[in-house]
Amino acid sequence: MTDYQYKSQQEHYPERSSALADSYVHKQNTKLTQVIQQCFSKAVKVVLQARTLPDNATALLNSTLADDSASGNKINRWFNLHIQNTQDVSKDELKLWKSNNLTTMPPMIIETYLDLRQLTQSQTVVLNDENGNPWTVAKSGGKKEVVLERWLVEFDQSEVSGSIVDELPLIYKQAIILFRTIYAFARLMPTFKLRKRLMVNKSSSKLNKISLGNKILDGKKPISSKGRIGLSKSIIPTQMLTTESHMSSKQFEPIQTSMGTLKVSIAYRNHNDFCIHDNEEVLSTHFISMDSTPIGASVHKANNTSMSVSPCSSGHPALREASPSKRAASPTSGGASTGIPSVIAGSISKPSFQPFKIGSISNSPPQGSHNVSSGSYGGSVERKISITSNKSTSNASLAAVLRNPRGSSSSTHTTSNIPIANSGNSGHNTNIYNMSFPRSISSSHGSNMQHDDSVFSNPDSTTNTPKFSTSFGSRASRRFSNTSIRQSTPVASTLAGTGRSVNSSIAPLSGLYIDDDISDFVRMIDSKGDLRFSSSLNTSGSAESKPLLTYNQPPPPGSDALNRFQMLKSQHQQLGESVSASLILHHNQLGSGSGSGIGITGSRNSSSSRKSSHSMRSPSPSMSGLYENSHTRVGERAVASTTHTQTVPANSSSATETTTSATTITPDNRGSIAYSNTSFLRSTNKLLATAYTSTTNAHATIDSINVSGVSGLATSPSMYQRTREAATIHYENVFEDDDDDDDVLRPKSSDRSESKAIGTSRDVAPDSDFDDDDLLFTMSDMNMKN
Amino acid sequence: MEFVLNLTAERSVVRESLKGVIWTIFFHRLFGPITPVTNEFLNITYPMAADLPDLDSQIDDKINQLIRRSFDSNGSTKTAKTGHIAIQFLDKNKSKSKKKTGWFAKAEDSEELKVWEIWIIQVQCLPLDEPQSGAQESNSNNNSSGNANNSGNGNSSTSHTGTNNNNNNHNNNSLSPSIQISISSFEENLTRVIDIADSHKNHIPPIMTLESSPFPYVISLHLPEKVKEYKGEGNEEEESWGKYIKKMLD
Repeated sequence: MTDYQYKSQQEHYPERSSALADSYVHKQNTKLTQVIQQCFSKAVKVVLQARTLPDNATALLNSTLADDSASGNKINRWFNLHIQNTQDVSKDELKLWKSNNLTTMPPMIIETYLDLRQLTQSQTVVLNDENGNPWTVAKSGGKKEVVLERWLVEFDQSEVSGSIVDELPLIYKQAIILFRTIYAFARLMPTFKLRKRLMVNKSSSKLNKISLGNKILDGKKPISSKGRIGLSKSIIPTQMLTTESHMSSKQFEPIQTSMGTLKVSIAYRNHNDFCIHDNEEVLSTHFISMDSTPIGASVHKANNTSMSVSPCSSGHPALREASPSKRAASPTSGGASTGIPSVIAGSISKPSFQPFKIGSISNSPPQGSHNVSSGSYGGSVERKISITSNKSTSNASLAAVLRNPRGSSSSTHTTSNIPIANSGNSGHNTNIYNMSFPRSISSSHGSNMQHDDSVFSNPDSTTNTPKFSTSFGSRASRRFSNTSIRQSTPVASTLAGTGRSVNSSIAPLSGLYIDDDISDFVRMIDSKGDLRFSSSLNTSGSAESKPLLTYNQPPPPGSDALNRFQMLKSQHQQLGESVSASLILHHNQLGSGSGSGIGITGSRNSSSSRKSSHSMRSPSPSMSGLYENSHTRVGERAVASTTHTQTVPANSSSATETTTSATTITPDNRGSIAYSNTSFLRSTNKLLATAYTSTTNAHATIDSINVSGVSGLATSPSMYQRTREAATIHYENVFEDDDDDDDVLRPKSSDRSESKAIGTSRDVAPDSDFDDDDLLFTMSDMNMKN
Repeated sequence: MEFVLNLTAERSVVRESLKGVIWTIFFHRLFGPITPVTNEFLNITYPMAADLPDLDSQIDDKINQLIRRSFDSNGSTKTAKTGHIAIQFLDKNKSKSKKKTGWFAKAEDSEELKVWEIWIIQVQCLPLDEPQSGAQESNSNNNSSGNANNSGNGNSSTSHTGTNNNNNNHNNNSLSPSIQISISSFEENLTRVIDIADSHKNHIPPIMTLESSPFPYVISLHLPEKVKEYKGEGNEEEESWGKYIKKMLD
């Protein structure tokens, strides 16, 4: 057949020998057009072969080429890579790229997503990070899809090169290699590993409710992210990532032709360890507790909210399922009339890492305050800190948002987010340093509010903003923030003694800016010191899978936990001192801006986690600057700290406090926690650095913690340039998608020079099935042979 | 062109790692029509070409030789060993024949072979990790047994991998450091081969046949002497052939 084809071509040439050069060009272009078309369809086949989940695993095994003749499936032989035609792609889907007119051929996007539609009511999808910490992705009723990767195939006619003379063999050779590399690389990517796992677990109940889906999209059209988690959105909070970004990208070597350049690139998520968690128990526990204990109920209420709302908890460390269940379980266990809770807690002990880490952090401060800070204020300090910590954590998640690569189209969102971070920072500052300032109060409350609010606020939730006229509106949600408050407060009151008064003072303050609900809640919490004490202990205890404590059973097990903390105290104190010392040092060196490596840096888990706690709390921008300075090994962001001079005084005063809190953190040094902390810290630093300018702004505009002042930051391009350095702008645009529905993604519509348009009246291999044999290659080879 | 890969693998996984890397190289150098299949090792999937038993067994043989000679022969089993494998791709030297023969006669010297590409895989073979070795050895055995006629998507190893994956996090902890190094080195090298193949295309001579392996190749345990630089020539040749054909067509 190929021979025949070749001969027939040959026969035509003589007649044409006298024809115009146009004829030759025309013919070449026709063939080239066909090759380009085939490139598009081949890309689809190669990619989808590695991305499609067969109905069952055995089908796939059988579907290898061995039985292609039997099954009647045709094989696509183009580019010398024999691949079975995928049936999943309808011709309609590919119609756009079968046009004979390259000038109208849009970029093609092959998208693979995780399909969550089959989730049952009680299931939650989580994504495990490198350390096995689960992060909630979505639960049933929430987002329907999680975009995992996108391939972009395009023929860019603005880039023309090469001579038309006999370019085909060369192009073809390049295409042969291109598709081999695509074939191989597609199987090294995380999504392929996920697919393998899904295939294996297809029959088991573990993962059979999530599956992979693929879409072929017109790259010229806006991509709607409605109901889906876009590729640009990190599920694991950015500050927890051990890598620069939650996604990677790769561009294959473009193939240049006389009519344009064929480009293939990918953007994909780095993490693939999706799992399903059942949260039935959690819910039932929750309801039981609601019935049994009023207190529990209120607590639950908070938890519940966070649980049920916030469809996508990305940016949220707390595992939705785990943390609420934990919370629910521990308080209830007193009401554990059902006996369920303890079991649950045991079973879920692993996921509970996250929450506990936070919990422990907020718990620990009181002791720290005793140690380091002046006694009487210890409680209050602690209180503040705990709030701040929550807040700062949320800031961190904001950081995630900030760092999230966003396309130009989504710039508005970025803007809205950034200011928030600013306000948060400034709030922190004030809060920690100048407790007497109303502003600080408001900020602290903002953070409180935020917890509540967090429920509704996705990182991008601009909708919340109106509620709190200021920037607090859109903090990222802190699911467990309620919890931490609850915990810290009781501890403070119990341990510090002054805690109560502090708390009470807070409540009114909260009245200023917070809904009554919240202040009530806070007040209630305050008034129930005993209970809370035990509950907090509970939490920490349960972190280690200890039996749950009932609400009203404070001392014995609780004291255990306390003892543990006490034992850690000295150790922590030591470290804390060194930290503070280094901080002070930093002060002095601030001007220099050179990150004098505080000894802590990579040293130990505990120290690193401590550091992280610092940064988490990082109350003031300046502080963050300091930390940034000390912790970032690279001097790249030294600038940030240098400019911070204005905030220095505040720093010095607050240094102790911060240190205090820092020292007492990490009661239980689980490696994983420490590790994640470290990474957290790392990215937080980055965040802070990035937000740096903004923080300064915030300082300046401290009187009006208004978003507008900060918006300048949002636009500072450096921020997301850094995160997306790998990708070209064009690329970004195409792959960018946002959680927002109206985001319009416009792949660079290359200015197609119409002059290049080639009348493709000539019939261009009407291979409707893409099944053609590899004629072209054969032909060119044969030609050369002669 | 010469490309050097550095592969680190623990003794129990060195065989399959090497095989994966070498197959990935060949996958990108078998320019002719091939049917791609995949194989899996250490939960990493690499490409192979189906129906090339000769190549497959040749690869196995060379790896066995290398292991016997460099890793299992001398010295204690406690120290890391090094070895290397070189893969050369050759081309019939067309330039000569073209000059001398013209249209009608095939030149006698057209069979002269020229190396146009060399891949050198430098292998560092880590000693067995004592506590883990048993389990790992059995793992690798499983995999290699599934290798032979593994078409499709690694059926035999799939289940194995699935298990691996399920416990991903725990597994990483339980794997010995050497194995972890091996895994990442393996994956890195596969990625590297792909990147090289993607980014270096110009030196590849014109493809003149429809065999799956258009160019002769040599797998050897000896480092070849100086590689003859062929890339420039290759390009020229391609162009000149183009002109040649054009002339013919006109």
